[in-house]
Amino acid sequence: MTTETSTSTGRVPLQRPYRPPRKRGTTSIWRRGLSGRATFVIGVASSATLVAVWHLLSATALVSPLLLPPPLRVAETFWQFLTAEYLGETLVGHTAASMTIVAGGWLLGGLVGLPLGILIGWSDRVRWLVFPLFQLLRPVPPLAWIPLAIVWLGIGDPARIFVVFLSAVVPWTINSMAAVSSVDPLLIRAARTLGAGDGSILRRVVIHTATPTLVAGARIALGNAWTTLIAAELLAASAGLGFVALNASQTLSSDILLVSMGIIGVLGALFSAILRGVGRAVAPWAKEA
Amino acid sequence: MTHSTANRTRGPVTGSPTTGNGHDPKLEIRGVTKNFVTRAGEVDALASCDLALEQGEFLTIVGPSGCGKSTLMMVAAGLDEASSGSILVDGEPAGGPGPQRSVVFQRFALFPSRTVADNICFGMQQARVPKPEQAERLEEQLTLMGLGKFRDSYPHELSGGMQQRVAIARSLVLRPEILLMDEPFGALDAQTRLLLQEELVRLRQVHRFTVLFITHSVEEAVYLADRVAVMTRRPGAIKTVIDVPGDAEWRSSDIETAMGHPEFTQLRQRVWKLVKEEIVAS
Amino acid sequence: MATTDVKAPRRASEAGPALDVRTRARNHAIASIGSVLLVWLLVTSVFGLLDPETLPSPLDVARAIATLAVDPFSGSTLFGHVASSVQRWGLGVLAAVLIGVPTGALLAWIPPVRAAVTPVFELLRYIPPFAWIPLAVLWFGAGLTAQSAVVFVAAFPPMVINAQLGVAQVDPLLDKAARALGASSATTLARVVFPVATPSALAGVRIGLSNGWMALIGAELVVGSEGLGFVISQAQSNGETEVIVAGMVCIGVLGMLFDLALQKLSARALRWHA
Ligand SMILES: Nc1ncnc2c1ncn2[C@@H]1O[C@H](COP(=O)(O)OP(=O)(O)OP(=O)(O)O)[C@@H](O)[C@H]1O
Ligand SMILES: [Mg+2]
Repeated sequence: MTTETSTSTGRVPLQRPYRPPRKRGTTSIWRRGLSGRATFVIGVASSATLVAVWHLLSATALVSPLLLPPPLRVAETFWQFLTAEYLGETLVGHTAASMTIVAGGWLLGGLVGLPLGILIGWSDRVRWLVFPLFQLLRPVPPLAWIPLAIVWLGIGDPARIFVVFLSAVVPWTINSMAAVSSVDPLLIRAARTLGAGDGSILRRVVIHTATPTLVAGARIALGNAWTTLIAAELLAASAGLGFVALNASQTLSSDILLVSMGIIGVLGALFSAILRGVGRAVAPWAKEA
Repeated sequence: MTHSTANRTRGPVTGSPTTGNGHDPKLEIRGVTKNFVTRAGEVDALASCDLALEQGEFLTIVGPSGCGKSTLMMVAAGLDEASSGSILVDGEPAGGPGPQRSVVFQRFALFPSRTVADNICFGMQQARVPKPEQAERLEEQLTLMGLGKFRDSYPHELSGGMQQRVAIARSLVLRPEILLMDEPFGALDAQTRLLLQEELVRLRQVHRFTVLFITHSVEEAVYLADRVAVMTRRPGAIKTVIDVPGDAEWRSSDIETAMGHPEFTQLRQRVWKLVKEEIVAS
Repeated sequence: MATTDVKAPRRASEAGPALDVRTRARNHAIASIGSVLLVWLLVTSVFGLLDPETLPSPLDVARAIATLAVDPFSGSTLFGHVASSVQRWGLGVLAAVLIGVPTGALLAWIPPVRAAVTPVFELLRYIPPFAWIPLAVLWFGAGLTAQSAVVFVAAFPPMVINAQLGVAQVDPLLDKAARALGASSATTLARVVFPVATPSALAGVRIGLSNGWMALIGAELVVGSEGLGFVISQAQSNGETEVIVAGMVCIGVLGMLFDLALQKLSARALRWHA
């Protein structure tokens, strides 16, 4: 055997020169799956670290407490705010004010969006007529309607409900349209050949495929509504969590600002969780989106 | 170093720089077991498996579906961890995967975002093979696999058989020391299959790589192999290893002619009987 | 939009000429948009049923756009406002892409990182971007940084989530194949996994861009003295309704253009995709 000296033109030998096997493990420890327990422990540890860092930052005054109050003070403020009034309402009052508007806009969106979506899904003609308008209006974010809504309806609940409605009606419509067209005609025919009557077809086939889509639409609509409401409350409101947040920021009450942000986030998560739960309850066969 | 075919015969190669004593098998599977933990509970895929492949040996594995053949190959490739036991290459623990042990997967595993040519060149790029050499080897494989016209196609534009040929080319182009092939001809039409079987026989005569070859075709197993290993039903273990005489008459003919040979038929029936026992029992 | 795609062509009706479905859909679209414009024009300019303070005529709006293009409104012309909006939006979404997409990939690729980051991320992502506006203003003052930060907050979550989803959905066998061919973990991620995850990641970027645009308009409505959001809020205080509508048109058109541009880009990037 000879040792090959590789020249620039020479062919590399068919069998490449021996290289000692890399002593890497089969799977790097970073890539291994974690048990549920390990995931939980790491999650708790990282969250605790974050809170600790936050505490240290404000305790050592590295960051001014005016900009970032210590976590304990935020918790304290939360307790006080539950009973004491701020800008004319307690925390509960402001939350109720926000939720009323969201519920109004969201329900109104469903009232208009559901039938509209079904109509669009059912008839080509209606789809051809309505969809282009829809497409034309969709790129304008709902909150860009706020100034116009104020001109039309004044600064008050109707203007906010209108804007929230605009943000909710889109997912309602699109998902109910999708729900209608998701019902595969072939499925209906299949159900017929299996000897199902009309009522039973509707129950088994139509509702089966359409429900998960509808519930998803409701969930997205509620998320949009909540998001948009907060923007509307920053602009035109005299109560509500967004209103509180903006005022707190202007008066440098950063603790109240963080409390209101926290509530806004928790409620958003709660809405999403509730509608997910509803989805699982009414359509347990559906895959989670 | 160069390896001329002259100093390559069946059996252990002496003077290998890694092993010193020269008696270590090229690839050794030693007491490998594997169980999967799933939501449904634990699945024992492999009971203790032992196999040793000498340098240049061609060993085929047959066994009932689901007995753990693919699992064994993943472990042998260093892609999955054995629950116990070890994989040795040249007598040393093999560790993670690498291009010396090249794999052809049962489910192709082509990279969907890369063209045929890019798929084939992927391993060479990792090994930093010089560009001109890459191009040369690519051409060779494209011709061999009849894929010349499809070098710029994406995997989803190819038929199943073509995808399989790309997967084989991607492996062969690395000229590995050990080839691990999991039903590599499974998705091929009969003609291409014949062609590639003969091509594989020819290639290994030239390159003398060591091959672990899984198949569900008993004929193929007998035709290609130096030894055929039959696995038990799940949890899989090596049931029997059967020697195929290297000097058999049918060795030099193609598989169709070989199948008419009484000696071949006898062997095939022997293997088939062993496999059938396992299928029936499960 | 995929949902407008027509179904299988039907047999042409016996009465009318044999128009294909696409043409009929287009005709309907022209008719519906045309008639809405016509009604708008009739109600405002021709019959004067609504006073221009409530609903300006389309002509007024067109005139307002033309005027805005040359005459400064609250400090700069339309182009100045567009430029400052686009700049803030661009900064925010650029940061979101650069941080969000790799974060998503990392979350999917490395389980310990996922375990550490997911609880915090889940906690924060339910706070709507607009709720960050007051905090951003408090921290950064009412200016470019605060607005870009709000854009970032809005664009970041969908980019992370979709990149993570994309990487998580890649067949683990591809990872194995790459490693068997000698690729390192980083190479596998960059050259095999990420290309496959790109459609999903791009979908996230697309959602992020549009979320960011929306958030920017919100931020400009609340604070600042430049940008399209500022234009419409200023027009509202001045009682210039035609400027409000003109601003809304510009916001919509720009949003649509960004989306179209990204669609074109992703179509090019995804040639391999079935
Ligand atoms: N990742 C996994 N998780 C859980 N169980 C697995 C996994 N991979 C394989 N198994 C189980 O291990 C057993 C062996 O699977 P394997 O794929 O090795 O079979 P096989 O012999 O290759 O079958 P076939 O001939 O059909 O390809 C099967 O029962 C399978 O269900
Ligand atoms: Mg298998």
